[in-house]
Amino acid sequence: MKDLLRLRTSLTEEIEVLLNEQIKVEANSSAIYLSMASWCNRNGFDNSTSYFEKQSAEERVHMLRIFKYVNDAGGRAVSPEVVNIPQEFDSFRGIFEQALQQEIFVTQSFNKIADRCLRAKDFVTLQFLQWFLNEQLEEEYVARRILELFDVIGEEGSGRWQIDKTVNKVHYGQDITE
Amino acid sequence: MTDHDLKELFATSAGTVYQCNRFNQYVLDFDGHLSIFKAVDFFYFKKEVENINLEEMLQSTSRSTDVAILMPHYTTTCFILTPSKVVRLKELLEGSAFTIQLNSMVYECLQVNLT
Repeated sequence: MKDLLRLRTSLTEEIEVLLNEQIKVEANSSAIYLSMASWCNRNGFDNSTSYFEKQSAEERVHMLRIFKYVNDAGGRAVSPEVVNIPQEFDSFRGIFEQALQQEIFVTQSFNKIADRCLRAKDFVTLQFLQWFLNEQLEEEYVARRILELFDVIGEEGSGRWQIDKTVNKVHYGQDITE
Repeated sequence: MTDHDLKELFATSAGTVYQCNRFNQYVLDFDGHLSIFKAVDFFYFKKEVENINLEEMLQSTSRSTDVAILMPHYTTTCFILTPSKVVRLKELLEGSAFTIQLNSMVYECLQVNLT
């Protein structure tokens, strides 16, 4: 008897469900960052606005990457429902703390999928996830460094203005020869 | 599609699921109706049936919860399911999914052993 299951898709049901959950996580992140951009704009932090807008666009690209992979592998990518996005935040610092927490959550989520892929011996998906795992190192680094600016520069006086000015200059460079 | 193309996957007193090797489809014979599914849709249908809330159907006094209606766009059958039919359909689909997955695992083992 033919193996129709394998002809249909290279993904197991479990991995397909996990990837669809990750699509939702990325969509959710994108929406939260957009909401943060709006808050920063309302409060006069122009550079942080553009930083979060850029982050939001990046998360959407990540979502589409996974979305396309699921479909390409013969699965069924589900367009996610995004609800309950917070529109108000406590403070300028709080917003960056939440951004870092969001990135940590995304990393943990990718780690979980990678672990399941290993157990299911789905090395194709594991290879696909490699890019995201590297990307998360960068995302967490940048978010952590920005948060550290609040301690390094301080929020007093024109501190917040200075932090806002510096936000877009934080980059992750892996090249140790520089 | 001839009888020769159809391989029985799983049968209960409520119906039978066949695999059609000619068109790569699954055929569900349930409640006197034949429904044909592409592989991708069959598993999606199984999920839809699994998502039917039996507890709510049984506990709610509303007439609208006496039956669950499924109208999958990928088949021409409209499923009108009483709680007992839901149980029987779930059992049939779960058994079939198990056979399909077992067949896939056997294939994988044989291919690994051949190389």
